[in-house]
Amino acid sequence: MTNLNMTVNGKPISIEIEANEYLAAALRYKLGLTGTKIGCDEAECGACTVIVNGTPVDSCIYPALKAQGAEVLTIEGLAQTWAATEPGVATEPGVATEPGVVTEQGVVTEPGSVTTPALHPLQAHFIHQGALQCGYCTPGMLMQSKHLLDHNPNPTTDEIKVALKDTLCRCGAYVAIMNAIQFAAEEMREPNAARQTVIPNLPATKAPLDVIGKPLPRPDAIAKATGAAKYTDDYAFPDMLWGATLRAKFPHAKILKLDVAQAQALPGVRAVLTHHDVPGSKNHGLIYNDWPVLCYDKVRYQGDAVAIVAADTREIAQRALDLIEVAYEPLPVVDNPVDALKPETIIVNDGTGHGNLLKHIHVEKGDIDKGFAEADVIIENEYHSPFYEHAFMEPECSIGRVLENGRIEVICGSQIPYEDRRQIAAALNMEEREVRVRGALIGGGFGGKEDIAAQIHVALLAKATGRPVKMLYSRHESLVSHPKRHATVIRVKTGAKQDGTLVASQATIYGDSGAYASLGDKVMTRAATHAAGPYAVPNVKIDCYAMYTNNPPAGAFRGFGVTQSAFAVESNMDELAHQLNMDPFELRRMNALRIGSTTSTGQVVKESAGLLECIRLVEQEVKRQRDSNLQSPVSKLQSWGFAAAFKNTGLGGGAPDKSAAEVEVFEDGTAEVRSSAAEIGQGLPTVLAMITAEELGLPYENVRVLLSDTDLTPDGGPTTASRQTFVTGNAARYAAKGMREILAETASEYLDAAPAQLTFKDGYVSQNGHKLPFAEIVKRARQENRPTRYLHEYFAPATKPLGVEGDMHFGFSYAAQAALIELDPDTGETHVLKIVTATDIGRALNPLALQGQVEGGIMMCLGNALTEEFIVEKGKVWSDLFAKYKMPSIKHTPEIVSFIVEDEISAGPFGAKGVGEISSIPTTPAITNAIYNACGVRVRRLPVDQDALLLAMRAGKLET
Amino acid sequence: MLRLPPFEYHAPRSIEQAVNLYAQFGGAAMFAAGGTDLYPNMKRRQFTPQALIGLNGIDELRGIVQDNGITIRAGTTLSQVASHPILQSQYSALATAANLVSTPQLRAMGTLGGNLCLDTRCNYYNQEFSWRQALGFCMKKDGEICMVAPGSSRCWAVSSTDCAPVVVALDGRVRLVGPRGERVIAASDLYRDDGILYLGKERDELVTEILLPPADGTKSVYLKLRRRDSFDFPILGVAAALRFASNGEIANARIVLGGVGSRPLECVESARLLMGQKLTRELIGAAAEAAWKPARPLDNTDSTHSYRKKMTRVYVARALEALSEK
Ligand SMILES: Cc1cc2nc3c(=O)[nH]c(=O)nc-3n(C[C@H](O)[C@H](O)[C@H](O)COP(=O)(O)OP(=O)(O)OC[C@H]3O[C@@H](n4cnc5c(N)ncnc54)[C@H](O)[C@@H]3O)c2cc1C
Ligand code: SF4
Ligand code: FES
Ligand code: FES
Repeated sequence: MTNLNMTVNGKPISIEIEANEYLAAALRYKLGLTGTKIGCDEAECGACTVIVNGTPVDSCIYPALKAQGAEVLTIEGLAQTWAATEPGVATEPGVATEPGVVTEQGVVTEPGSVTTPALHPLQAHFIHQGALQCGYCTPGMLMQSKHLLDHNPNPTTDEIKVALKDTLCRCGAYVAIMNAIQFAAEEMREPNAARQTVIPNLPATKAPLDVIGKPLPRPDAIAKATGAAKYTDDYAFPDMLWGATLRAKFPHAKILKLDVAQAQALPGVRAVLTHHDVPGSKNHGLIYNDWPVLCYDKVRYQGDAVAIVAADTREIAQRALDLIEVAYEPLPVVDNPVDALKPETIIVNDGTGHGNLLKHIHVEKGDIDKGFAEADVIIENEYHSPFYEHAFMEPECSIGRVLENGRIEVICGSQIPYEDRRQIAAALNMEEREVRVRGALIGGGFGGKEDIAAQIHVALLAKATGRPVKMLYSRHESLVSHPKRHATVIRVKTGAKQDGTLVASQATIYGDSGAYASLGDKVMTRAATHAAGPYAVPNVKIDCYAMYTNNPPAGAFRGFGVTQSAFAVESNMDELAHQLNMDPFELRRMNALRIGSTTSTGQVVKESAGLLECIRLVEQEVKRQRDSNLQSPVSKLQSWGFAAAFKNTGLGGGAPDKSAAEVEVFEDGTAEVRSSAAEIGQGLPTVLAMITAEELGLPYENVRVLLSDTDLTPDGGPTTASRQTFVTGNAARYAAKGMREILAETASEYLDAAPAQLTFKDGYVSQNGHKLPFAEIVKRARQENRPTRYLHEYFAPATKPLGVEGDMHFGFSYAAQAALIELDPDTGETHVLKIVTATDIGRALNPLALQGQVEGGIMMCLGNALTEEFIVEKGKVWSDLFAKYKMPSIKHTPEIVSFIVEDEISAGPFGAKGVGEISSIPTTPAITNAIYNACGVRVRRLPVDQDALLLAMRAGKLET
Repeated sequence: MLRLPPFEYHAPRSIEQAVNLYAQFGGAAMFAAGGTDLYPNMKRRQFTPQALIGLNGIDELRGIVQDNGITIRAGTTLSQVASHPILQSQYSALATAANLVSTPQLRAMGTLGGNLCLDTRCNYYNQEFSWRQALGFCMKKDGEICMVAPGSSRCWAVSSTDCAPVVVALDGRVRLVGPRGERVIAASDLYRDDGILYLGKERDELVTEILLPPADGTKSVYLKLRRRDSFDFPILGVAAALRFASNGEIANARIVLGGVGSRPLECVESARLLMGQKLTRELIGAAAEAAWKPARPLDNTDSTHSYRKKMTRVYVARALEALSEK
């Protein structure tokens, strides 16, 4: 131990520290400054950026002792660097001070009880521009931006891109980040002017109501911008132990021997557990119970958990893993879904009783043979897509502890808290009520945090040791263990008449679901039901095989299978347009789903189908831009490409889709809305607060949101399938309405008017010029012994399973997109210059949050098309470091022109439907179609391979 | 989460102290400059030194001095190299290369000396410990065989430093100080064609200075190929330096490739073609063609070797075109 003296955020600090402790860990775990985040731990993401003696450094690889005598500035000190020069900068109006997160004690802080510091201009403008979503990259992003502005008071967007190109934001908030930095720079150049919170330049949407439809910042924005926001690893408890997991050595092997005696004997080790120590269900799983909590007979993929350890320190836990003896007998590795289906192939997982076949999904409509017989043109191709990684910036973390009464509590960043509770209880052989799952903030999910990660393990270890246990995955562990986007092989055959009318569409899809089911069956069902594209095709036949293999499991990932099938279908459609010599917009327009059309699953579209309008808007903008573009000299190959897409909202397929929310009102004139629905950066708390405020006539900042605590919040169901705005939004809306009716009864006596005639607005209840404060009504209602909380359980419109007549989904969102790309004919490199996008989401409840979802979705699928690939070979993961998974940076950000179509859906809250996924789906085919238009080569394999593209171009081949 | 393995940390104040300390540990210590390569590698257990000898506190290792040519002390950070006005104007390839290394955060910490001594890289080697353990270790660390070329008796890990090809192309020399005294060697002799023993210096020798000759009108460029313009190491680097005589003929030419072998690879044949000629489009084509031939990248970095080889020709041509326009 050496004494380290440094100044942190202006305060002198003196601590004892080991030579091998690095600064990020010292700040977070020794000084409790948890605002500094660790994303990769290996200098490959920039999340941990802090400023040491005026220079930004990656604190995850900066030995703490190097900061001896130095001045360290972290996110927690950012505001004061401004306040110190500019005393008295006002607090931000319009933003509540505390996020809807539980504190240590499980209570929500009352608004106003935390004083908001004067914010640094960067923080303020990040908040108002929507430059933070999940918030996990925000501290690093802000520190790097501060350094930029310290040296360059007026940066151009190109200069910002250079400065921030190595600080990643997986939510893809890059456009907003660039705007925020420029507004902050402007403010800092005029330090005496009052702060102007500039409303971002957003696409036109319907006129707002009192709250709904306004571009309001997220309720948790201040906490995220100041480093106060708490993610799981930011919690610590006295006597907490560190957990670690022994992973499989082989992708497929029989376990012959498992001996933990030596590990148990290591001083400092408090528990070593194997499958013998799982008292309840040995398997877990969201739909199928096919995933061992700890492997017993064999291991099925490289990330499989074999044993777990809890120890006094992370080092001891790690050493204990090395002492566990496991003998394996390697088995043949099944590494692709096509082989997996062959009868001679070894069975990886018999989770569903059909060998390696997890699920065969069949969609049929009309008569496919007749359809093709009628076709004048038939296009048939095979498309391949690899696994993709969510790469959320926050690695998985869970904390388990035993509560006084013997109950178990697990704190984690989960997308489905009640599902976690069910699976934890089953494995521990406890009643569900004996388990409490508390959600912390989540640093990005995108579908990758729906499955169990360490939740059960920490619960087991906490129970075994009686002490709190934390498991924090390294990036490596996160990459090898959690489910991915399915790798697919898709064969599509499209038949059309000479005039462009689609007559037949057939597809065979193989989806690699990896070692365990996860949500594979549902994901591949969506891939299948969307495999004819957003078109009315009379004759359809689709067969989809979701297969078990020895690859990492595949599950939910933004787009839920539709990303893959859309790439195939939209490539075929584009080819069809070329063959028929038709305008690609026109071909899509002719066949687009509209009111009265029937989908592949036989569902008649009855309302809210804005695809035609999306196509019209994009076409108009592209044609306008193309004309002005043609005048500028073009050196490299530039071209536009187009694609359209649709995506269901809600679970559908006959699954009961429900959510509950509770609204409580208080005598101080505030309200709280509660639901166990996860916020993964998409902006759910904003929407719930807005809906509640609108219905109760309260100012937005008077509504608090409490999410994801199975003791305190009712079940909101999974955060998946773009369903939360719709389902939990409705639950909150009806709960608020119910609450309002009760209050109206009280108010009607005092205001002498029928309850239905009262107006709730701006924190008052009024009628004919008489008004009473909302707070007063609550007080009186309470005196009258009326309830002040209201719970509503909302059931989405019933749907029918696939193959049964009727509606498989209660609604769809639509999008059309065009991409302008530039292709370098010497290197094969593709750059996306511009994206024009139009999205039909029913109703824009919050245009700011919506814009974040649209731009983030586009960034993600730009990576899907061009740079990203999660490489697995023979079951071995190669992309096991962050830098090996090539996701786009701010430098890849194209110009994005966005249009919003608001074709309302009657059952949606204020007409809204799903937002989170649709915007990302057409991006990939829009880009690959543009590549074809630039060089005449069809991309059949993702991601675009520059080498293959060059070879094809040179050899005059038509596809890669 | 990843932990650094335990080590003792020493912070000498002078070059002499640093060299003596190293000698005391007899091979069980490592020099740490910016640590930007070292610490991530230590987290993955590529290195587990008993002691680290930190070079940050040594004032005599910092600074850029103009003399006959220019001397850059080894501890100068890459951001300082990138922003130095003389380097930017007269040795622009070096300023460019330094500016293309890793990330702004890392360039503020990383040094030129560390960059020149950067460990070679390979897809099998630059992996987390448990990954390598599961697959079986290779001969570069803890193992016996090479995974890329299983029959090979040597390691083919790739020289991935951006600055080394430039310093070689600029005819640089490096000053080494060790327990047996001091010597100056040509930068090209700092490298060996071996993925494990990739440095042509003794382990106990410290690189203290990088000496560049007078620029004398030499124009230079550096181009870097990688998948993304962020984080990624070069999978091909092209450093080209040309000096033109007053009649416009090329009086001196050097083209050096990075990222295609275990050491920076000099394109001798291309340089020979250029010498005494005027830089025409045809000549550029011929020189690029000649540069492409000796490049023998293996499949052990990002992107395929065939693509990297093809791009060698494109990038050398682009480098020469850039010089012809300068
Ligand atoms: C995400 C990431 C991306 C990167 N990208 C690039 C890239 O694109 N291009 C690139 O070139 N590098 C890259 N690097 C590597 C590294 O950041 C740079 O090469 C940096 O310049 C190394 O310098 P350093 O001072 O940090 O070296 P250190 O890490 O301190 O040392 C590197 C090696 O050199 C030895 N050494 C250091 N100084 C001396 C000396 N004076 N005498 C003798 N031996 C010495 C050390 O013992 C060690 O073996 C990257 C690193 C990371 C983590
Ligand atoms: S080239 Fe061979 S020996 Fe060298 S690091 Fe790669 S696999 Fe190991
Ligand atoms: S760069 Fe430090 S955590 Fe990623
Ligand atoms: S807000 Fe940037 S990663 Fe989520």
